Formats: sequence, C-alpha cells, structure tokens
Amino acid sequence: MNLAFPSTVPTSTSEAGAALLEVKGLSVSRRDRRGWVNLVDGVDLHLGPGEVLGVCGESGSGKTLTSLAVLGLLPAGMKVEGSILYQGEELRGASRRRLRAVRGREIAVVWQDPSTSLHPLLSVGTQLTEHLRYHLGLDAATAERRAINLLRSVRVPDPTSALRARPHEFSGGLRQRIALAVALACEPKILLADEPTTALDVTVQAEILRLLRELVDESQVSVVLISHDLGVVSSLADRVQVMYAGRVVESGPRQQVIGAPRHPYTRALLAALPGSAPARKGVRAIPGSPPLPGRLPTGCAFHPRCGYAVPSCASEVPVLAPIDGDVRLACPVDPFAASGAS
Amino acid sequence: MSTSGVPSAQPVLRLDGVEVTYHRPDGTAVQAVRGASLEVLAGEIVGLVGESGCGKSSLGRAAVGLERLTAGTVTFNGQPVHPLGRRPRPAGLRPLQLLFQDPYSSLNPRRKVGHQLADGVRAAGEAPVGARVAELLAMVSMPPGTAQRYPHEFSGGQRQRLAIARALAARPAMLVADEPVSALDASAQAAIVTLLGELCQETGVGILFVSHDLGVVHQIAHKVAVMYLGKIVEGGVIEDVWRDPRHPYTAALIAAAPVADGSGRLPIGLAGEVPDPSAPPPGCSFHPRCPIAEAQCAEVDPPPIDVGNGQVARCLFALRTSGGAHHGEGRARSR
Repeated sequence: MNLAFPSTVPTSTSEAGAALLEVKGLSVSRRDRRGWVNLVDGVDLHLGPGEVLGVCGESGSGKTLTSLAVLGLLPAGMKVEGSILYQGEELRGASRRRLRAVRGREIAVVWQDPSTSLHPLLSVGTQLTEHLRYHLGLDAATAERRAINLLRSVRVPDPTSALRARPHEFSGGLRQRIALAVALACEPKILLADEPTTALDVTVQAEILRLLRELVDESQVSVVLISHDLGVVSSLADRVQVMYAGRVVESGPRQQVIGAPRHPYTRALLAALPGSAPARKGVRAIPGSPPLPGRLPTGCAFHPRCGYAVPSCASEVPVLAPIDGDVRLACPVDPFAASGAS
Repeated sequence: MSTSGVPSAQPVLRLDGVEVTYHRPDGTAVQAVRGASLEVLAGEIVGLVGESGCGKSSLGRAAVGLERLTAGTVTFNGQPVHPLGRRPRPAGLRPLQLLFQDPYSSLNPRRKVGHQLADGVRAAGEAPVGARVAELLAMVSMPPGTAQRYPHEFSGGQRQRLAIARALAARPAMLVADEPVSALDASAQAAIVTLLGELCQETGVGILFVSHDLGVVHQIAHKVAVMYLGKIVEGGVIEDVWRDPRHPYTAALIAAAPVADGSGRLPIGLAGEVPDPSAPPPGCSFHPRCPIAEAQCAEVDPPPIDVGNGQVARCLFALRTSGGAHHGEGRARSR
C-alpha cells in the first residue's frame, strides 16, 4: 500500500536493521519467601519498523510479563533488569511522566479481553477522544472527527452513532475493533497486542487478523503479537520468538520457526495443535507439565519433557545462538538440524 | 466407523427435538435451542461444535437435566432426563456425568483431592473407598500422592484430570463435557483429549464433547454436530464433515481456523454478526452471512438433507458436489 517506504518491507528487517524497540537481557523477578524468583530470564527482543513480531509460548512462559515490562506496567515489587531501548532511549527506570507520554502515544496496547479493557460506563466517543485530546491536544470537534475516521478504519458500522454508544452495546468482535481504534488513535509506532483474538470466536478472529494485517500494511505500525496460538502467530507475524519458562528457546523468520522448527519444544507445541494431526491418531501431547516459577529444572528448562535430551542438558543452560541465517536456537543438541524442512 | 463394533447398539443418550427457551428480564423469549436431535452410542465421542451463543452449552446442559425443556425429550439408557430441582437424583441417572470447562472452579479449593474423589466413590456405593480413589487417580495418570494434596497445587491440565477422575467415580456410561479443554494450553489440551479418547475406548463411556473448536473435535470425536443459532445445521462422521462440509457454515468454521504452517496465509473470516437469537432471520438462519445464499434461502427453512453415509446438512444446496465457497481455500493439509 504505502509505496513511499520500500525500505520497510518486513522481510528485509534483520537483526542488524534499525530497531524501533530493542530489548536486551530483560529479566523480571518477583520476591518469594525464599528469595528472588526469576519469571523472565534474559530475553532479547528486536522489533523493526513495519514488522510484526510474534511472541508465543504457553501460560507462564513470560510472554505477557515481557510486554508489561516494556510498558513499565509491572506490579510494584518486581525487579526488572536489562535494557529496554525505544528508538535508542532507555525506558527501564524512565520517569513516570516520560512513560505516560510514551504509553498510548508511541507504544499502544490491545489486551485480550475487550470487555475489560474498555471502560463500561464511558461512551466509545469519550474513550477515543480522551486519548486524542490528552496526547495530541486536539480540541473536541477535531477529536470527534478523527474518532469517526478511526472507527471507520476498523470497520465499525455507523461510526457516528457508535460514538454515543457504550461498550456493552457491541459484540465481542466489534468491541475488539473499538479497542483497536483506541490503541491506534495517536498513530503509535508500536502496537503491543496481547492475545488480541483469544476471547473471540474463530470466524471473528479471522476477521480481526485480516484487519490487523491491513492496518499494518497501511500505517506501517510495528506489532508485537503475543499469543499462545501458533496458528494466529503463523498467519500474521514476520518473525517469531518462542518462549518457554521465561526464556526464548527459538527465534527467527516465521517460515523457518513455524514451517521448519528446530527446537524440540517448538516441534512438540506444533504437534499438539488441533488440526495439525488426523483425528485420534497423531495427537501428541507433551509429557509432563510446564515448570512452576521458582522450581525451574537445572540446565535447559525443557529437558525433563524433551525426548532428545542428553546428560549435559540437565546441567548447562543453553545459549540462544545463531544457526542458519536469522534463526536463533537455544538447543545444543539440535536434533532436527539435518531434517530441516521435513 | 465408530459404530462398527456395536452395530445394533441402543444409544446411551438420545436427544429428540429438544427446545430450550430463556426469558430476558423484559419478557422477550429467546429460543436458545430450536429443535435439536442427536444420539450418542456407547464408546462413541460426538463433538458438538458452534460459536458463542449458538446454544451448544444449553443443549449440553439439557442433556444432563440442567435445563427445563420447552419441547422434546432427553433419554439416558431409556429413562427420561429432566430437571430435578431439589429432589435427589435417581440412582439410574448416576452414570450420566458432566465435566465442566474450568477445572479451577469445578473442584473445591479447600478440600484435599482424595476427599473429593471419595465423595463420588461413596455416592456410587463402592468400597473400599481408598482403593477405588487410588484406582481413579491411576486411570487419569496422576501419582498416588495426589490424594493428600489440594487443587491449587496442580496445573490446569492436572486439575482437569482430577475433575475427570471425579466424574469417573460414578462409573459413567455417558459423559457430557462442556468445553473441557478450552481453558488449557495447547500441550495440556492434547493430553486431556488423548486421555478422554483412551477412557472412551477402555471403558466404553459415550462422550458428548461440547466445544467451540472444530479442530479439537476433529482430534477426538467420531461424529460431529455443528450448531448455528439454536439448530444443528450439519452432522455426520467427523472425517466426512471435515473433508467435505456440505453446510456453508461448517465450511466457514474450517476456513476460519488459522493454520500453523509458517506460510503467513490469513484465515478466512465470516462477515457480519450472529443475529439476535430472540429474532432469528426467516428462512435459513444463516442466510444473511452465507456466501452462497440465494433468494429462496430467505424464505425456506432448509430441512435436513441426507448427503450419504449419515451426513446430514440443513442447506438447500447440500447436494451440490462441493460445500461452501470457502472450502479448500483456507485449510489445505497443514503438515
């Protein structure tokens, strides 16, 4: 769509490209009776302009905490280490005033559940224009005109009367469209979408994913798409980062990480997906359960559940290291190295 | 396919022309289920699929006697099932069990797992209780020490195993499972689906598996019934329906599921919204959103049309060779 920016074609964004958001060695820990418990452990994240980065993993893998840390929205009492660079500016430890200016204006969020992320008592118009007036200093009339255009861009039917309505008057899918309009109101550079379609029906989810794709193509907003659903990530993300127990285990272009995964956990997760296997025959559950925070296995956190583990997996924490091209892998065994795309 | 072992078996559970009506505070009647019929045989898993508001949970609740029917009948092993209020459940209905979605709220957080299982064992009149509790835990692959612990010590998947053990205490002939895996992560989902499949095979329990996810149903079920706005619009052997859906809504459900193949292909959505169930559209309820609707669809409510091998679709065009317009486009064989 936007032919003026040929350099921002997502696939050309490599680790070396100019980063909009660069997270280095992010660790989040919480205090426990026995001391500090690591919930996110040394996560790196690189987001280029116009890029969609998919972050996936199961509950407890640290994907949401990572995004909350970026926004400076972690609950009090959590310790954050590492560096969060937004356009080169350090956000970790930035003043509340500065974070308030960044949140919503530069980095916006869409949460999982639009029935809790929108205020139930305020009209849609108030929630949209409040944002425009606070961040952009628009007057009421200009803000309202802008709000109508925003609702139109996310395909809310009859935007003028939608402004007067309250969130409960809309279906879940429309509410998520409205939440998207609120998030995109100030033309943020980054959209953090945390399970944006998980609460929706599958046919509505498909519509929202298509809308997100269009918005990315048109506005060149960069997206961090957090989802437990590899199918959702596969349909939208340019690059994918798979997390397990607070660490990134594999990252790289979507085609490789989801099309030909190298980490045993990524493989197992894909094999466990519905639709990936014929009925009853090929469902392969991952043995055991994900570890609880504070009770992380030594070495590679996945080794007790891994069919390819060797003795050293129990003692050495694998390093996320580059393998082919842009793919990074935290598995020294790399059992699928030869099989590649099989 | 599933019925081959027991060709002449009587259905364990039979729903016939079931209607469930709710009333809104303003008095408007909402027909959540508008005449649904299905059967589950022993050792068979039937998936009941649809999106929110389609009436699948109401039908599931009606199947275990938790909803008052405005029309139709539910029978379990030949005896009628209807709401009992405060009256005790007759012993004959004990082998009809319900499994809930959320294993965090279906177990009592303040009682040890063993005690909760023992209640079920005693209700079934079995002794010795301790041995049966140990046996139930083994059936759901939980270690024996589990009995001494509290629900919060377990993950969601493990808790759902415990809820299944609790249902198994009654030696069920029929299990109605309402979204039993939708609160779980993919790996835990696959484990529970596998467990239910094994239990069905080993104990011969029939399962009505209510789910919003046709993919999960494809993993586990032998047969499927697809609901839209209170009616079963398509039913049949799961492989047939999956491969060749004859109702455009079924085809849309298949095409809308994102496929994790790394291709970046977007799933295909369905335009419009589910209509207000208190005022369903005339004719075929799906026609306002249907990609292949024609003028007559707004007038004629399609009867169930048999397309062969027991596959039935409520679509005037069910006998056309291919299903809906979406089919085959969205979901090629993924891996």
